[in-house]
Parts: sequence; structure tokens; C-alpha cells
Amino acid sequence: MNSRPSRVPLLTVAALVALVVSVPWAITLGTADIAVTDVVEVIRSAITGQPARGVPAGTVSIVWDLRLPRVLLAATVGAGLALVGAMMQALVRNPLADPYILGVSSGASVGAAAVMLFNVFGLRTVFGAQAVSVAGFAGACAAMAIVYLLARSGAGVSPQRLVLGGVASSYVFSAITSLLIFLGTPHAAGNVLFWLLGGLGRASWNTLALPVVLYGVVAGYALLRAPWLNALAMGDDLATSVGVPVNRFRRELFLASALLTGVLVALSGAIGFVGLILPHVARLLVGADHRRLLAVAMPLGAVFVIWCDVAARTVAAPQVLPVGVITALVGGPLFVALLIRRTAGAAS
Amino acid sequence: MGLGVHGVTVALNGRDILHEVSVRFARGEVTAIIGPNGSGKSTLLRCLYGALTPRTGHVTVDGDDLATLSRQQIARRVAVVSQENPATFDFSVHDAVALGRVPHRSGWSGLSRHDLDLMDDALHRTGTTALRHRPLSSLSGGERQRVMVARALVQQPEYLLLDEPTNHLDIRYQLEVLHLVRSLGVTAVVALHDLNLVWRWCDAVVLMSDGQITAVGSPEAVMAPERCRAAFHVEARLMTDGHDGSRLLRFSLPGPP
Repeated sequence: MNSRPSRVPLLTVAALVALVVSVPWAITLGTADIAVTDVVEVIRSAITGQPARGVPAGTVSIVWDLRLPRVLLAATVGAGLALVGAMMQALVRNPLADPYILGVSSGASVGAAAVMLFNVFGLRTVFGAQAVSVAGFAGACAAMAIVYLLARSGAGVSPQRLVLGGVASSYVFSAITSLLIFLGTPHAAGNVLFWLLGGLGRASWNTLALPVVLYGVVAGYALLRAPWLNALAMGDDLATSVGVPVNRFRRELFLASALLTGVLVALSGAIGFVGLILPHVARLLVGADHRRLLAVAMPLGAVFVIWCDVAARTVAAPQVLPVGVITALVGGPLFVALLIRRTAGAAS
Repeated sequence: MGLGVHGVTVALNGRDILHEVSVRFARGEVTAIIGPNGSGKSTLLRCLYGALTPRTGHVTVDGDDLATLSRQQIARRVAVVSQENPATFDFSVHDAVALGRVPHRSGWSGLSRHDLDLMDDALHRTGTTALRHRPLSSLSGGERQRVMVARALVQQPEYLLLDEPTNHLDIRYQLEVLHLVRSLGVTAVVALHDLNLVWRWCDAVVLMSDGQITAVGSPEAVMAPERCRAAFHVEARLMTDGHDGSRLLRFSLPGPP
């Protein structure tokens, strides 16, 4: 397929416009419908510091305290997972890689399950509502460290060993999570299952700062290093010969993507398919060059998760579905269609 | 001046692949590295751009120890066409050739007019202009090899290293790639299998066997029939082309014909 650089700014702008429109629009949708003018008024009043005119206090609270942070977290998670997915695919040079291939999400699940089911280390007493996220992040870090140690070979980390180490530890961590669920009470087990499938219900202004800042830092780093990502994706020898310090770069990529995945998973669970699919969609649209790919994949990822979350909140309202169910239901068929298209392309 | 290899020993998986190799590649010359499979040709090439770190000894570029230079500094002086076959993602020819500008660019900036001019020129010189927007995965081995040469050209190196650049190439492109390398005026080090290409295109030859250099010098001196016999275990006969007087080697298995 041709890569058409001229399409990139247009597509990026289109995706960003879609994002800007999606945020207030998504806020209007939910168990209580809210007028878009009210949403804009609440946001305006928050920015200018003046009281919101003509909007009931209850609506202000729903918009400002519940839905806006939730939509912003959805955008951050979507953009972040698309970003990490693209980084991971270049890092292990495998188009089937996703943010969870290093076992980070399975590690987080063990931590989260341990706290939800057994209040391990009294974390719930210390951290209260944040205990699950704290434990999830600790589990993610533990998994990250184990996979890194397994993948070390000589001066660097080898892509094959990263994948093998990640897959192997994912199985072990998943088994531990299953064991914990089996030993716990049915009610708590239901909560763990809901968490595993991913949801944005934990969003609040307090929990938003860390993922947003970390996402910003990692996205800046990845865009800055886009030429190196291209070189690495084409091969270690090639990357070395055009001046990429391959071992150091791979370590940095590993650390950046594992940390961001850990924070996102700790807050929102393991939302599937976003990190796998969005980089491929972007590649189909603008080609494999990471400068263009990231500029399109990240805003599209944000929009995708925002609307999947809207579906999760409204389809079976007042029941909220796990957003991971929606992304997988939409993403799965999309991925199959992509694979078929790919195979057809290779055969012709 | 030139590329210097000083007492280099390289070990891979605990086994020595190169044994205290010392050799100098002079500026402005095209030097061939020849030798049987497994003699250490690729390993020596990989040492010349720092992809492998010697266990002992060191490599110098114009007198500067490679170990003291950053990857980027090395890549501005030395470009490599390796045997790697990149096709995992659908990178276009344009994307691949643009990689040659990576050591010269800072992160945020896109390709400048100057970068694009260099790329146009390199695509033109390697006959790959028409392939520019094709994905690498759709190219033949030979086309891909020429794209990789184009990428190395836009790197504007002083030294060009090529590992078996004529593999997978039709005879016409074999000759064209070597003609191109000759015409660039850069110092080139080329690992080659085809000994008759060496006669025609190279100023100097380094003969390797078992991780050591067994002869260095002009093609006439190094590729004498008795040396070919010792290194490659074949009978070699030196012949003269009746048409233009150029020399050729003809090979046969040892023993009665």
C-alpha cells in the first residue's frame, strides 16, 4: 500500500477534531441525559472560575465530578494503549504484540485480586479506595522486573526472550489470579472479574493526574524517537548502522511502555484490543513510519475508548458493562477483517 | 587515516571467531574481504562499525577509537549494507531510505529539503526511483538490496561496508552495485563470494580463513592459484579474456579432471 505523507496532517487533524467533539458529546450520554450546552457551560465555568449559570447543582456534579474525569481517563487510556501497542510492536518486532505481551496486566491482576479478595498487607486499610490501584501497580512492576530479568542476554534484552518471558509469566500470573478467585468469596470474585475485564469507573480528578502526566511524557519521548522506532522495527543491524544505540533504546522503551501500561492497567483494568488494533489501523491509513503512525493512532485510540465506554454505560443501563467487553466485541471482528485483508494482500 | 583493526579478537558464545586480527583499510580504496563460509568475514565487518565489541584489541576510524565514539558519530562516518532482510512491517521504500538521514537529524524535525534531495539522488543512482512508494515487502531480493544501498548513500558516509551485496542480485545488478560503489569515491570494504568480481572491481583483497587473515594485498598477489587452493580447496586457473585482456579465475574440484 502507498504511504501518502500529505494525508497525515489531515487525518491527524480529523482525529483531533473528533476527539474534541467526542468529549462533551460523550458527557451528555448516560443514565441521565444532559444537554450539551449545560456540559459546555460547566466546563466554561470551571475554566473561568465563575459559577455555572442556569445549570442545576446535581447536573454540575454529574458533569464535573463523574463524567468529565471518566471521559478524560477513557481518552488517556485509549491514546496510551495505542501508543504502548505501537512501541511494543517495534520493540519486539512483532505485529501481534500488544501492551500486555510483557505480562504487565497479568501481574497487575494478581495484585488487584489479592487486595480485593483478601486485603493483602492491610492495603485497603492504608490506601482505602486506591488500594486496588496501588496493588495493581505493584503487581505490574513485579511482573515487569521478572520479565526483564528473564529477557536479559549479554548487553541487551532480546526481543524473542521478552515475548517468551512475557507469555510464560502471563500464564503463571493468570493461574495465581484464578487460584485467588477460587479461594475467595463469590461476591468478591465477581468484583475481581469485573476489574479484569476493564472499566473506567475508578476515574476521578485525584486519580487522573498520574496517568495523564505519564502519558504525556511517554508520548513526547516516542514522538521524539520516532525515527529510531522505525529503524528498530526494521532490524537490529540496520538500527545499529544508522546510529541507534539498540540496547539502551530497547531498555528505555521497555521501561517507558511497562510503566505506562502498569499505571493504565492499575486504574482501568486490562482493556483489550485497543493496543493491538489501533497501531494496525493507523498503519493501514498512513503507513508504517512511526512519526505518522503515532500522530494518527493516539487520537483515534482516545476516540475509540471514549465511545466504547459510552456504549458500556448506556447499552444495558443502569447496569454498567465492563468496557473491555465492548472493545473486544468491536475489536475482535475488526482484527479478523484486518488479518483477512493482510493475507489476501500477501497472496496477490 | 583509514579504518584500522588492531589485534582484534572476537568471541561469540564463548568461542573465538576472530583471532588477533590486524589490518588497515586505506582511504579511497575498495577492498574485498574473501574467504570460505565461516571464515569470519561478516564478523570482521561487524567490528568495523561497532556492532560487535572485540574481546581484545580495538578498531579505529581515521585514528579515533570506535569505543570512544557514540553510535550516531559512527553512523555519520560509516554506513553499512548488511544481509538483514527487513520486511516485518509495511515500511515503504521511502521510509527505508529516509532511515539513512537518522544520524544527521534531530528528533522532532521532519525531512528537510536537503534530506529529500539526497534521497532523490540516491534513489536515482540505484535505479529505485520508481519503487519509492512500494512497500519493502513487495520487492524482490535484488530490489530490496538496491534500496538498502540507497539508504546507505543518503547517510553520506566516508566509509561504506557491504556484506555480500551481490547476493540475490541478477548479474546486471551485481555489476551495477559494484560499479556504483566504485564510482562513489568512498572508501569501501566489501565481503564478496564471487572471486571474479574481485578482480574487476577491487583495489585490494583481504583473504580470511578460520578467523585469521592469511593474506593482504593486490588481487594479483592474494588470489594466486596456490592461495585459492589452500583457502577454498579448489583448483584455480588464471586465464586471460581474449577480448579485452582482463583476467579470470576458473575453478574446478581438485583431483583428476
